[in-house]
Amino acid sequence: MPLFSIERELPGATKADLDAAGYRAVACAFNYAGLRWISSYWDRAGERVLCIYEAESAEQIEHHSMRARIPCDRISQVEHFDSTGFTNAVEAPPAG
Amino acid sequence: MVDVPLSELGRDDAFLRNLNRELDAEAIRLSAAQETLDLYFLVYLRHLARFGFFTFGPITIDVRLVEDLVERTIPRGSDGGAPPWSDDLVAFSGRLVQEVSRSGRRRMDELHFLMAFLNTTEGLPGRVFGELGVTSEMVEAYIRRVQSARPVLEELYTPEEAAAYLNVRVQTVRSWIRSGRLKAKRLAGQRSLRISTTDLQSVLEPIEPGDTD
Repeated sequence: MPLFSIERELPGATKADLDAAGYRAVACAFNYAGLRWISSYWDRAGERVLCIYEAESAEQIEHHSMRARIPCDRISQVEHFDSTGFTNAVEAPPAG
Repeated sequence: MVDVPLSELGRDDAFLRNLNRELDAEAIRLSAAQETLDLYFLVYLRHLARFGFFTFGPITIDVRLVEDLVERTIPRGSDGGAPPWSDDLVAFSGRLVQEVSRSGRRRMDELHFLMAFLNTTEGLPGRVFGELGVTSEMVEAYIRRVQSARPVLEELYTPEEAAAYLNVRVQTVRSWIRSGRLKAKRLAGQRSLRISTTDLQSVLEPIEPGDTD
């Protein structure tokens, strides 16, 4: 299933606002085949949230956000990678 | 404030899944232009009603009367799919998560919804509870009475919740269960595991003074 990052501009949002938006995201997701909320990161200073979702398409994410009344400013298809396999290749800095 | 893992909500929770699926199905059936607070209230009452009545302590509601009101007043005009949430339902989502934080119960349940509906002055919930003269304080008093009359049930944890409680990985919890170090039980006829608070604490060993490595 394709992976997407979603930027959501949320000026002035509080933790309570994010919790409420999170509940709406969950409540509205049940009828979308393949749609899955993976994780989200709150950029408090930038007043925005970056979400990672699995979905069939960007249109599906846009529709879900519209239904849940959550902003959806930019959607990009992304690919996952992490440091697995690299950690042993990175030498520790010299002591002192 | 209790940190509710919202991204986990609904994945294993049949109540939330069914309630929200029923909301969508009812909105589509009624060709509603929006999913409203009134519609959510109706779906909630219907979900928990027995023989057409929602009853809980001082509350008794004839669900058919609420159905009639919703059918007559809900704004129509959908494009065939489940419509967006209305402003009053968005506001309700805020009250609902506040209720979860206030209660200290991490998993969202039927009672969180009831208290959030009781604490709204808008729409049908405000009207119905206003006419019944039932307040959240009265329901809380009823719950305290019922709880004090019952033996206290020990809290149960899923392996994921147990891992979060002990601050270890869920794989660790599962390996302890496999090896017999941690006791667990299955729900009758299901694969799901549950671990009691007492059993969870049995894996914690006291340390000698000064031994903090």
